[in-house]
Amino acid sequence: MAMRTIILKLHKPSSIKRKIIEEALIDYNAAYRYLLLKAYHEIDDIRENCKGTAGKYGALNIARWIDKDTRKELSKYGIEPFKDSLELDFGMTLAGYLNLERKQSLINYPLFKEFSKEKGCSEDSAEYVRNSENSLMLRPLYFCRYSINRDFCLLYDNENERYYAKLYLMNNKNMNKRSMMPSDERRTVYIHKSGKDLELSSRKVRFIIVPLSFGKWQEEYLKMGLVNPGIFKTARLVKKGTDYYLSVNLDIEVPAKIETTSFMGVGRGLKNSINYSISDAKGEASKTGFIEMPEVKKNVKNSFSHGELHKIANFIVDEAERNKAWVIVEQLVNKGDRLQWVDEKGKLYAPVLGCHDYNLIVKLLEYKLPAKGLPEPVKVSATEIFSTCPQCGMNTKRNRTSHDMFICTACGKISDIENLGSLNLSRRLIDNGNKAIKIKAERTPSGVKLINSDLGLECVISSPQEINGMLAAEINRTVKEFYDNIQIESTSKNFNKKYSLIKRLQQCEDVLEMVRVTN
Amino acid sequence: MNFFIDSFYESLNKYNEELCGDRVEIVRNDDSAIAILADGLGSGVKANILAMLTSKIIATMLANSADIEDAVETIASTLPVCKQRGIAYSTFSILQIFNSGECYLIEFDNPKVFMLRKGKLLDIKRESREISGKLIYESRFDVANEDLFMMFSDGVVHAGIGKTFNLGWQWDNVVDYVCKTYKQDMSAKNMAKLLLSVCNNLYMQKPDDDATVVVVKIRKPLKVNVMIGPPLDSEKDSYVVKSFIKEKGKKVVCGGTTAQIVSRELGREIITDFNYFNPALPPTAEIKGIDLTTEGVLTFMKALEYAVKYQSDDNTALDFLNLNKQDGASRLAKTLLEESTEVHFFVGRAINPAHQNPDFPLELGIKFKLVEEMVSCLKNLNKEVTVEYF
Repeated sequence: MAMRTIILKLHKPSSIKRKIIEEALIDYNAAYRYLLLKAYHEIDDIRENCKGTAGKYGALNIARWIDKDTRKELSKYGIEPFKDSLELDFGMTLAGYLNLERKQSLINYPLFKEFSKEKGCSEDSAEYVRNSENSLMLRPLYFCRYSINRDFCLLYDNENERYYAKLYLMNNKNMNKRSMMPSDERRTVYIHKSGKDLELSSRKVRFIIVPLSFGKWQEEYLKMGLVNPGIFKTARLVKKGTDYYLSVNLDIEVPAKIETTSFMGVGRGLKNSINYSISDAKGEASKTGFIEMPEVKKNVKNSFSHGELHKIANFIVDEAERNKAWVIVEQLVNKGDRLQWVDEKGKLYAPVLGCHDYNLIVKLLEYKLPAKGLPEPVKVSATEIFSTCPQCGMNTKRNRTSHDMFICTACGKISDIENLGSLNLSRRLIDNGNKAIKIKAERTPSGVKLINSDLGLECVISSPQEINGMLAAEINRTVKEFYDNIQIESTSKNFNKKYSLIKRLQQCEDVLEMVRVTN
Repeated sequence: MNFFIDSFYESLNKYNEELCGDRVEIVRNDDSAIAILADGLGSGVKANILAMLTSKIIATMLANSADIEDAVETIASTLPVCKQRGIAYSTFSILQIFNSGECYLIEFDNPKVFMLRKGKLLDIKRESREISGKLIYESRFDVANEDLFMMFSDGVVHAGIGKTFNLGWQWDNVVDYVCKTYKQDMSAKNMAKLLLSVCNNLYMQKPDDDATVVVVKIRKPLKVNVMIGPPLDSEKDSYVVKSFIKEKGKKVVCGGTTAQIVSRELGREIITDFNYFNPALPPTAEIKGIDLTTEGVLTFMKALEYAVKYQSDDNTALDFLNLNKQDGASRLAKTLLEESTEVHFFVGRAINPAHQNPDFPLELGIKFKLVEEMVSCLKNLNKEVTVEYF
């Protein structure tokens, strides 16, 4: 199972609902601060008595420190609707602090900035929170359970295909409580295993119902929830600027791993934002394509919006999934891919996607691909991808004749620059896998000694004419010995490297094809 | 002036045409070598006939010391008139290089011939005059070793037009590519094949016009001496090695036993070289004073494979890349096929029983067959080849 968080915006809440939300946040923060302050004064006691059996601190153990008296004090903040959540939230914060304190001695206690006493507010009052600088940085309100009758849950209007959040934010004494009359225009059901309809009456209620707005990606998960409501677990009510969001945590199944059968190179372009090529295991290109996005205007910083970058990343993921491809991307750190071109007249041809945006897309792929069961993208050096011939492997800047044309100076192969980078990327893992394993030759009085320390290979050949036969026999003996002693080998620091070399040797019929002897 | 003229030409037919409308003639006489490229009007049979007549007439007349005026007048009166177009037309370029080192260049309506000296484009001064209504450009100058000339038809200049390039490859870009690609040890054949490979790719394997490339390279003659196999009579070892060593040019020794004999007679050590890239072949070695020392039959067999492929019509620009590898067979093949202008084989008659096929008589040992085939390949490539048996 895997945790995923989706962020849903509370769509245009009315002024009264805003007021309810704002008050709930302030009360929650005030109560939270009260707990932290109280715990600060009793920290030694907590440190001593709230340790778990393994010596670590847990949220539940810390929450047990909150006694009856403390709870009575908490009631003054009107936090009954989310009391359990608050205690758990406080427990998680303090447990995190205490666990970190065990590793790092110099760590700050988690509290708001000190507010000047001259202002006359008690430090632990809601008014303090309301008036302090930190009112702009309110801690999100935690909902520790997904439930129809408390904390939070989601609703769905099937006819209008709209989603709503039901948030318990008021206690019985709250003056903002009001009744909610059922609507003739919609029939809303709980996204819950009970599948119950939302029933409203003239009674005043302690919750608010707010429509939600979100993107397609979030909608996919909401639809998942319609089928399996059990995925909704906890949430946080967050204020950003003047907007409110519900950050919902889901527990979803990890998709089955997809066995990749091809490689997908994803490179930048001068005409297109992204070009891609798909090659099979032998390096034969089976498909090429591109993502254009000509209508997109870059922002002031000359980059794409996050939304557009997500679109690009999603396209790549879909294509990789369709072709069962392992995605290979450029490592655009320190050295670039030299795609940019300046012609004789000084005209600049710059890539559509800047390095920063490309790297952001790579970051998105790092979680989007595994979410579909595909491996994370592999980052490889990109310095030669626009100057290397895909036919003969010749790499020289002279191969590039213009901003868009590649003509190999060794074999005459021509290629459009747009596709060249992605094609070379798609073959990079295959090329690296085919690289010869170096074996060093040293002259000794008794003959020529052949050595590869990673493989643990060392043998002396007395007659250079017999080198092929003797070397092949020695390599085969090394491989056999490795497997015979694999348990001992697995404890060696060099195990992974040796194992990968052994596997490469085993993949070819003639081991000599995989080695290169050098002086 | 002592030089060797390395020349090669190849054509790409217009898509779906059996015959090429370009024609090349290379003629050598006592005092000069003449290369002629003619491009007949249109394509197919008509163009082929026009180009053939043009090139043949010019080649024959100039080889017999006729003037260019006479040749052009003869062409004008000989070429058949096209019924559709009402004209008889063929372009031509003529490059005549005399043994003295003088060069005479004549051009009519073909893309300009260009010349590289030490890899850099050299501006050729041309003078124009009219002969029989045709505007002819003439140039006279001296050549130097490693000068390279390239003549090509307009199919090369227009390569890729409307496909990969809007306006075709264009003359300047062709020259730029050749300058970027040029290497001193590159043969005329290699250069021509490479350029034509680019043209074919630019046309996306469906040429819109006939394209022909002629490359003429002025080279220093290089004799390569190859000693393969021990002498039948071991007492002749010293004599053979001395004869071999005193020869001018490059020296190549093929065979382990042969290498040991040379090493012993010269008093020099054999050092096995492990910088070899093809473990399927035995390594090469170094003996001071010998340019290349390889293993015997296996290496020679592989080199012969390269030679047969080299001279075949199927040979492509990619095949030339094999000759740049560092294993014994590639190095031997490159030395014989690309670097040499003359080859002398010192063939030892002693037979290695390990190589002997029991079905063959003694004199048809594997080694001898290999050498014979190699000699044949080299002669087909216009190299002077001699063989001495011991």
